Amino acid sequence: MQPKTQKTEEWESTFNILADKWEKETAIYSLMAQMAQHYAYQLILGMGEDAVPLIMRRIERQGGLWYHALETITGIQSPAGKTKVKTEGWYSVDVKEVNAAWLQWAREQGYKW
Amino acid sequence: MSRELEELFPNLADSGYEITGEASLVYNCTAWALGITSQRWDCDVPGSYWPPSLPRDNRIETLMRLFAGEGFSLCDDDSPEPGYKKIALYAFVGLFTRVARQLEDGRWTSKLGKREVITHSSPANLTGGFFGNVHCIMRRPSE
Repeated sequence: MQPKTQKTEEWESTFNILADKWEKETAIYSLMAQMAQHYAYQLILGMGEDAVPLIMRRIERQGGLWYHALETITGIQSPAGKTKVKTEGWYSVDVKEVNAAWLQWAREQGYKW
Repeated sequence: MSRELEELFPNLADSGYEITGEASLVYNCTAWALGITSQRWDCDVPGSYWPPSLPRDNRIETLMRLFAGEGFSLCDDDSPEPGYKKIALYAFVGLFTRVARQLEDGRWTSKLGKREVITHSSPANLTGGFFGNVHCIMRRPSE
């Protein structure tokens, strides 16, 4: 599940460059759908499962809107899915709760970061 | 004034714009166009609102439907009209990029993603590049 150490270091550097770029350049975007179309985000998705512990470390340190990438990469619905049901258009959980649920899920799956 | 914003929006620099609100993740330009500062209106962000009858995408047609559902209809131009509030919807290759709202004095206000709110003289100040052009102007009666 964990990438090899050398690959981890190289990929972590690449991931951080892409993640910084994505967060900076989409700071003026209006909708998540726009943010997800950014090329840096798409490259992170292309890193596949190797990106999961890197995303977890970033969430733990600074939060962020990573739940969509995690759903795409892992192929599973948000661990907070049970409470992510929209009621009359409103989501019943917020980003912090979703991030906390993903961190818990990753620990249970044996990811280290 | 912000050099970074001026680099992102080339038509903004000489417009006499002002930063009139702090950066915030709590609300976005879609909410701000409706005068809402307590919630994001976004199709795929937990904690935000999106009308349940709309598709979860950022096609310009979807956003036009969103604002139509809030009482806005298409109008001819962006000149101030007594008794009406106007908004300008921007699009690039058919995809919504942002929305600006007209103030009573005829200037415009825009929330720039999770960054600041600015007041600017014209919808044209935020056009160019991947942010596209003004796709349409909509209006609704003032409350």
